[in-house]
Amino acid sequence: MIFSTYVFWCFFAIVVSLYFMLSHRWQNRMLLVASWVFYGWWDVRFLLMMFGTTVVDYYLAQRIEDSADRRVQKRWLMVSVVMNLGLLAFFKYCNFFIENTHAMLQAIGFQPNPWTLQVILPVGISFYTFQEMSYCIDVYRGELKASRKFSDFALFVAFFPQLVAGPIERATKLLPQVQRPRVLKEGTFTAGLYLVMLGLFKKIIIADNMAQIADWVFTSDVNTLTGPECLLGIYAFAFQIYGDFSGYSCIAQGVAKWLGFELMDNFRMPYFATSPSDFWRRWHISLSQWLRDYLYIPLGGNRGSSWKTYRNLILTMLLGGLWHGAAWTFVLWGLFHGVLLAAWRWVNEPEPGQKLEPEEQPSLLYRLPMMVLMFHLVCVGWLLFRAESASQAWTMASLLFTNFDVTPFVSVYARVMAFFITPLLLLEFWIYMQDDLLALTRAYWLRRAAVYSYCAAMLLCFAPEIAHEFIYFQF
Amino acid sequence: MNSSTSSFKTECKVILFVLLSLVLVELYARHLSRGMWDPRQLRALPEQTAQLQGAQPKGVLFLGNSLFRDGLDPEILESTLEKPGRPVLRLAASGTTITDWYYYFRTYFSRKERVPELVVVGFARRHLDDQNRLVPGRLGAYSCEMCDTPEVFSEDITDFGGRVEFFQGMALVSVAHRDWLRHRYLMRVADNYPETQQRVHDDLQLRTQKAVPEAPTYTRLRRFIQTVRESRARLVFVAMPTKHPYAINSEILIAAREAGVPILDCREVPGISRADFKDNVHLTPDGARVFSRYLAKRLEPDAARLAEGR
Repeated sequence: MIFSTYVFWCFFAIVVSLYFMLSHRWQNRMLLVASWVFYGWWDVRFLLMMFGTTVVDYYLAQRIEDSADRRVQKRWLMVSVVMNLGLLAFFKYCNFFIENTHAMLQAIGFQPNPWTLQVILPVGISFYTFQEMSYCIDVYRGELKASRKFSDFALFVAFFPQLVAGPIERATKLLPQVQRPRVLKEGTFTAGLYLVMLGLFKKIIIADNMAQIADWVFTSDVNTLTGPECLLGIYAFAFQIYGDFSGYSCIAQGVAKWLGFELMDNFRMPYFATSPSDFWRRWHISLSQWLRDYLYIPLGGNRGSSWKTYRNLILTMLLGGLWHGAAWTFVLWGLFHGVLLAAWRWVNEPEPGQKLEPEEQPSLLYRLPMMVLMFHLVCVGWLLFRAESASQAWTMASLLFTNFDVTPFVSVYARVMAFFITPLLLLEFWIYMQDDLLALTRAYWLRRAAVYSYCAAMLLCFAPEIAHEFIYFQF
Repeated sequence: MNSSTSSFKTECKVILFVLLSLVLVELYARHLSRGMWDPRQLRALPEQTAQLQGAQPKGVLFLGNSLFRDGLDPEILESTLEKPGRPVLRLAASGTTITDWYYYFRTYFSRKERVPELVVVGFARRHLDDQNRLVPGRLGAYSCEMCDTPEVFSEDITDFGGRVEFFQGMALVSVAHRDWLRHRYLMRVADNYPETQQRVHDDLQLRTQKAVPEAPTYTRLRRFIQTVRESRARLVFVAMPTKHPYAINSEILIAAREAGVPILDCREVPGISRADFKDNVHLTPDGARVFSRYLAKRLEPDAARLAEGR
């Protein structure tokens, strides 16, 4: 069930109508059943697996909390981590591992029988396993009390707005919202409507329209492409993935708001970032924070020498890349961002004895060229991320500097792209200047109505011929 | 009045404003579609089919999509095929495929007094496959009558979203004509949009086919053939010329042979070269003249048979 389909909105209409007729306890039960229906809609086998991990983590967290011995607690935590990572490894990396082992054995002269497993990747597995893992770690760290009510914990894992593509919520934030009766605050409907409208626009108008351009470039024979075509394809993919993923997060937040839940912001105008660290404070924030808290800091963070900090940054981003899927292009993408972060840190490293001053907001005149530079660095990353292979990425990158032919494809689709993207960029720049993601909901109603009317008209007339699934469902 | 009531009232104003804007968009779409080729010819269908009513000799119907729109020269066809009193109709809405043609025929031409004598269907590549993309809004608006809904929903539009769009198409021009309106507006953004978009579309379709070699099925084609045969019209398929060669699936040949329907193979037409295509599939006006003369010649035996009332 996808947010951009009528089936979902009918499902949601039924859920909402029932929701407000029920008491808190029954609201939770109904939401749990609705979430399982939502997830089982893809494949009921996926649901069974999620149910299994939910049960195991529910009991493991209690064992961790009930045990007085730190070593025993650690053992139970390891069971949870191994189970969650083991499932991820099996479903996401099994064939990658087999294929690469096969290639390696062939390279050293062996001729093993090639075989792979026919494994279907359960939708959203990376999201809910990370959420369950963080829950057990937080209980182990004593930051959270283990849930003693299975339905509450199961709802925390399966809560349908954020189940398949995040934001990856922390138990410390979401579980209390499950446990306590929810009250709709003033402005909830307004904010929800804004987020849903913006999310649908980003997904259907921006992402799905950019998908055709990006798909054409990235599936073309690379020897037939020109530099400007490659550049346009990379730009198109940059906006496709942004529209797709941030659109999903917006709808998830909006839908959750209407049910009285507050989900975290997952994106904050990432293409206006002025540095690599700024970018990761704006892009897929829930994953960045997860990696920071459960990987980067336990690795030592920035507490050791500079070199150790660089190593930790690169390692964290490398694993972040691998989280997206089993392909060398994802590894390279993670490595690229790790190196960028390390290089940025090296450039801004305080001199020994010098105190790290809180960052002052530089003038817009300084920020604008930095935004353009950072956007293009991010685009290099997207080239690695989207390319079918490292060699395709390399050839496309070299074409950017060697072939400058402006083909009819470029002259037509550059304009089409500007037609779709410019209004979104203008709106986001205005929000950026207001420094408030919900600035539009606080603006004069006519301004909001004009923006919504534009979005609705575009949705009515410019939805592309072919709708695409959300990219992050595969992660 | 507390602040939450005022906030709710403000939001109601916002929603009303949006709804009003959508009404204006719909009115604009209706206005725009008046001047567009595809909606115009579909809207003119009831009037055109009235020409067939009781016509003697009965008419000839050319049924296809933009390949027929750009590939047929009406003057050449009319001078060759249009004997006194015989109407020649051309229904060539872009982006349509076998499902649309089936319902167009059923809705507008299958009534006894309006059945044409000869139905010529132009296709290329995968236009006859079941796997073609359906446009539910357009089907709802033009191809189907309310009484067809059970058949449409059981055979063709089986997903919930498609069914909603089918009903939306019945009421809203902006939904029914979405593809055409989008096309027209983007032409204003970039002049060469149609040709480039067609190329991109074709390339992507070919690449997807390579990646997912799904065997095409032809249930809809068989249903179409049966309906035309039941109406006692003579049916001819024309394999249209395209820039790059394509194969005709053996299932199409079998279905046609079993029903005794001839397929005129016009994939290679003497005198038509690659230069006669404005993109991968559409002929230029010069190419259309050459093709129309060639097709008219190939159809002559059928036309003569009609003239003799056989």
